[in-house]
Amino acid sequence: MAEKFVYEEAIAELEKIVDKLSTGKCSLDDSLELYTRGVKLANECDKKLSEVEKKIAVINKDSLEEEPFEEDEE
Amino acid sequence: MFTFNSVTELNTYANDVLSADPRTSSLAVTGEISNLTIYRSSGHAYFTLKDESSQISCVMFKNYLASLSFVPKDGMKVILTGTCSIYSANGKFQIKAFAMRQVGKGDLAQQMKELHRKLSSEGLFAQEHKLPIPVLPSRIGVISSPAGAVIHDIINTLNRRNPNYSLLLYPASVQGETCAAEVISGIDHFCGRDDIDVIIIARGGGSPEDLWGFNDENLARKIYDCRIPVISAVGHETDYTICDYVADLRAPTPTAAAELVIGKYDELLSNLANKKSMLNLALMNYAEIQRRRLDALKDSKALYSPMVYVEQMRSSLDSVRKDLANSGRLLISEQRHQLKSIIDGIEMLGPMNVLKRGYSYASAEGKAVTSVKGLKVGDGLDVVFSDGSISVEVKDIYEGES
Repeated sequence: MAEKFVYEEAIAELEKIVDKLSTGKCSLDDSLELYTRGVKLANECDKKLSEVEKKIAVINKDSLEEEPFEEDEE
Repeated sequence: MFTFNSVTELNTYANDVLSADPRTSSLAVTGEISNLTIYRSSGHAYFTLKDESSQISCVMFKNYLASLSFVPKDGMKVILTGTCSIYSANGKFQIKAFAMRQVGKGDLAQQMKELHRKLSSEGLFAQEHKLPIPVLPSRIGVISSPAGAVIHDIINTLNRRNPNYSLLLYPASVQGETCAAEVISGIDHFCGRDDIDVIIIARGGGSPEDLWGFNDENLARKIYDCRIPVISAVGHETDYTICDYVADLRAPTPTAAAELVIGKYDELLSNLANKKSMLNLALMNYAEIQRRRLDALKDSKALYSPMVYVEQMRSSLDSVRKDLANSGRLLISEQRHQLKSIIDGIEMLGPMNVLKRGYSYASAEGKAVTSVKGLKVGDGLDVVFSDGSISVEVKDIYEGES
């Protein structure tokens, strides 16, 4: 399994990158690398925010399979 | 024999007798509730209180009912306090209940207290052990009853806050004997998967008996050991169970649990947009800082022509060389001067200098003679001058004279 993307961690890393970049003390190469990484993180967060498909399922306790959960109207 | 003029009179009399008797006018009695009906229109509760062999009709009016901390249910064993009366209209002997207390409730509270103390001393409720709740879980595992309002409250709240989420329900009975075991199976099931980021254990409000399954020691330990963060949303705000204490987060209601588990979509979006613009701004700032540094360097004289720089270096080298030569010369003359004064000092103190001033000394066999004692007439002595010595013979000795 690929390393799990954790939203809060990505946001925290993004904040660190902004801080580092803001000091202006990094080399040009490092700065470009930081920026690229920052953009990548932001895009991943974006994706994560919008890509989770709404899905409601229920475990069938006999088969332990997932089945769609019917939301009956009240 | 007494003759009543009417049924009303009889019923009224009987009622008066009951009211006059201190035992029936203010009583407490234990029994089990059955045939409970709470009328929608009036809000009064009508039920039968029974034991193995007898039963009595009871009524509890709306305002007394509202003051109870639990909802009475059929089968519940209670102690009623109230007064006995006969309802004149149908001659029914009944209890008007003012208060109701669940039998055994004290025992449950005591048991919970003891379990709380035990687990607390083992550190099961320690704040340091609690896991953080993810802001945007990829999948939420819910352990709850598939029927009933609770799961719908959760789904409705999630729908309102975030259109994109994934929820997996593990159906479990959240009441009765099997409650704890089923919730434990649910936790085991979720921990065996790799897609669940947070678990919500949810149940609506209920009597302490209803919630008793959540005061289970094994369930508490299972939650403590669970690698996935657990939110306990059992009962209403005022209901606390062991499950609430040991969970990583306690939500006052299932709805609140749903709010805690998923960040507001709008807030997350605007926060991310903010971070993005900060990133761009930081890069622009960086470029600006570097440009200013470059401009400053370009302005410096050194960059006009390399010969300027070479000339500067040459002239400063020349002046350094001159300084060096000067200081070398100065150093040598100083040294020489110092040496001479040392030599002079030594000469001033030396014996040769004394001899030069007209003094001489006598010596015998290479040793200076400093006293007349020990000398005899005819002894040979050497007398040393600054420029040589002579040999002499002692002719006379005068002690004590110079």
